[in-house]
Amino acid sequence: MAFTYAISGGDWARIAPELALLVAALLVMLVDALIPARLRGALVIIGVMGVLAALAGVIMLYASSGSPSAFGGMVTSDPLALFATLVILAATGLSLLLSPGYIERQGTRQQGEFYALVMLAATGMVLMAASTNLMMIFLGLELLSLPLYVLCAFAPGQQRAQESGMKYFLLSSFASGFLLYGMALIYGATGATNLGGINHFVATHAMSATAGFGPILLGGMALLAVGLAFKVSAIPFHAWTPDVYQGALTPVTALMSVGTKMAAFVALIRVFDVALAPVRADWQGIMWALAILTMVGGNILAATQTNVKRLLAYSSIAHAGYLLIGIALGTQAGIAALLYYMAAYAVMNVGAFGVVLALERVAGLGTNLDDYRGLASRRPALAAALAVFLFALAGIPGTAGFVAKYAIFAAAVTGGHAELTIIGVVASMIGFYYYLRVIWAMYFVPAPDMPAAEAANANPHLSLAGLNSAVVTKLAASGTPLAFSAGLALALALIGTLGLGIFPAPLISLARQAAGLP
Amino acid sequence: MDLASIVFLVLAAILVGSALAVVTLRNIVHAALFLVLVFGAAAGIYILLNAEFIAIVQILVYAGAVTILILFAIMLTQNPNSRGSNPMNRQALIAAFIAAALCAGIIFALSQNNAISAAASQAVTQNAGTAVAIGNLLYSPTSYSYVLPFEIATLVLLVAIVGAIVIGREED
Repeated sequence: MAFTYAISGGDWARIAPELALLVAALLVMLVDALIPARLRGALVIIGVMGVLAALAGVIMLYASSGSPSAFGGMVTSDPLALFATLVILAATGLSLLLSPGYIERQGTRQQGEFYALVMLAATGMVLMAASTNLMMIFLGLELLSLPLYVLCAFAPGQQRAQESGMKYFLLSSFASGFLLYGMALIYGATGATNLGGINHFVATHAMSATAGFGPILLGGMALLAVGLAFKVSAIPFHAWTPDVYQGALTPVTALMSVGTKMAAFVALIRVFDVALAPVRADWQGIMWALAILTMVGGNILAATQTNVKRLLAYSSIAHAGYLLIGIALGTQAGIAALLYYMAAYAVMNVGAFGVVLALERVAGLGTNLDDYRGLASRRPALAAALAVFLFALAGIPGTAGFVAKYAIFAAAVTGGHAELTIIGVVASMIGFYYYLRVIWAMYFVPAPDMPAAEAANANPHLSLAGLNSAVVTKLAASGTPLAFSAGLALALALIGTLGLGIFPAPLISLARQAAGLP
Repeated sequence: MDLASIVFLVLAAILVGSALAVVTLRNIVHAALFLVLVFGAAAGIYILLNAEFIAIVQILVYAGAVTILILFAIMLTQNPNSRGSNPMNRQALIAAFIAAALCAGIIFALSQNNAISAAASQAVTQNAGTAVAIGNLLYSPTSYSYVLPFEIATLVLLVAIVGAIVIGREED
C-alpha cells in the first residue's frame, strides 16, 4: 500500500520551543551519565540554555508568517500558544535558576534527573498550551503531570515530600480520569476530537439539553470542566494544593503553581471560550460559580495560615479565582486580561517562592510565619524583595499585580458582569490582610531569641564544639548565603514585577494580540 | 441462535465466572491467575466486535504485562504463606447494591433503543479490520495526522522510566 507522508519540516518548525526544551532534557540526561558526580550541579546550565533556545524559537515563530497550524491540526503556534509559552518559559527559567544550591542543601544526589524532569514537565506544559486537539491536550497534560509527581516526591527521606508526591499522584490521576471521560463524551457527541471540528459541529447543530447529542455534550463539558478545574486548583477541587505545594521542593512548587496553571488555562480558553463558544449559555454558569467560590474561598482559607508556603498555596488558589473571571466572561477582552494576569502572576509568584526558598532550611524548616519575624534586620534585601512580591500579589499600584487585577476587573465590568468585579474586589481586600501579615512580621516584630540547640539543629553543618552559643545563633539566624543564580532569578523576577507594573503597555498589546484583539 | 451468539455466551460465562473467582478466592495468586482468564475472555469479545487490534493489545498489555506485574508485586511484597492473602472487607453488601444499580442503569439505557446505540452497532459492522485502519491513521496520514501524539506518548513513557528509577533507587 502507498504511504503518503504528510509531515514536512515546516510542521516540526512550528513546535520549535517544545523541541528545544525536549533536546535540553535529553542532553541533561546524557551529560549526567558522562560527568563525575561533583560536576552535576552544572547541568542547570544546559537547562537554562534549553529555555533560551526555546525563547529564540518563540521569537522566530512570532516573526514567521503562514498558517500556524501543524501536524494536521494537532498543534498550533498561534499568538495565544506563543504568549502562554513565554509565560511558561519565564517560570521554568526562573525555577531552574533558583534550584542550584537549594536542591543540594536538601540532600538530593540525583540532580541530573531533577533537571531532566523539570525540562520534560516544561515540554508538556508548552505542548498542552499549543494543543488544538483533545487528544493532544490530554497527552500534554500527562507529559506535564508525570514529571511533577516524581518531582514532588524528590526530596530523599522527607516524609512530607513523599506525602506530597503520593497525594498529587492519586488525586491528579483521578482528575485525569474525569478529563478523559469528558473528552470521550464530547467526542461521542460531536464526532470530532480536534477543537475546530467540535466548534463546527456545535455551531451548525441546534443544541437541546434533553434530546439528541445534547445530554452527552453537557455531561462531557461538566467532566472536562472538573478535570481542568482540578489542574488550576479551583475550589471545590483545591484540597490537594496546600499539602502538595508545602511538601514539594520549592523550585518545583514555583514551576507547578505557574506553569500548570498557564497550560490548563489555555486549554480552558481553547475548549470553552473558543470551541464551545456557541453553547456558552450552558457552561458559563459553572465557570461563574467556580470563579466566585475560588476567589472568596481561597482568600478566606489563606487568612488563617501560619506557614508561608501554605499561605502562598492558598493565595495561588485565590488567584486562580481571579483568572477564572476571564474564562467565565467568554469575551476576548476577558481572555486578554487573563493572559496579562498570568504573566504578572508568573514573575511575582515565582519571586515570592524564590525568597521563601532562600530562607528555607532542610525539610521545610524555616517556612513558618514565626521564622520571618524580624527578617528585615537580618536579611534586609530578601525582606524588601519579598515585600515587593507580596505587595504585587495583593495588588498595590506600581506593581504588575495592580495592572493585572485592574485589567481583569475592568474586563468583567465591560463584559456585563459587574458582580464579579464587586466580589473580586472584596476578596482582594481579605487578601491584603494575609499578605500584610507577613510583611508586618518581617518589619515590625522583633526576631525571637533562638536557643543555641535549636539554632545548631537548624544548620546541621555547624558544630557546637568551639563556638559559643551567641555565634551559632547569629549564623543560624542569618541562614545560608544566597547562591548567585538564585540572586539573579530574584533580581529578574523583581525587574519583571516592577517593570510590568510601570510599563505594562507592550505586554498588554501582546496579550490582546493573543486573544485575537487588534 | 447463530455461532457468534453461542461464542459470545460461552465467553461471557467464562468472563463473569472468572471475575467472581478473582474477588472471592482467598489465595491472591489464584485470584491473579483468574484475572488472566478475565482479560482473555474480554479479548475474545473484542474479536466478536471486529476490534481485533484492541483484542491483541488487550492480550499483550493486560493478560501479558499487567498480570506479570501483579504477580511480581505479590512475589516481592507478600509473605510466603499465601493462604487467605486476598484482602477482604465487609463492604460486599454496599458493593452489590452499587453493582446492581449500575447494571440496571445500563440495561435501561440499552432498552431505550436510541440513535446512539444504533449508530454504535452500525459503526461496529462497518469498520471491520481495524488494525489496518489504525495503522494508516498512525503512520501514513493524508489529512489527519496522529504522528505527533504517537511521539508524545513515547515521551510519557520516557518520563515514567526516569521517574521509576528516581523513586526506586536507594540513596547512597
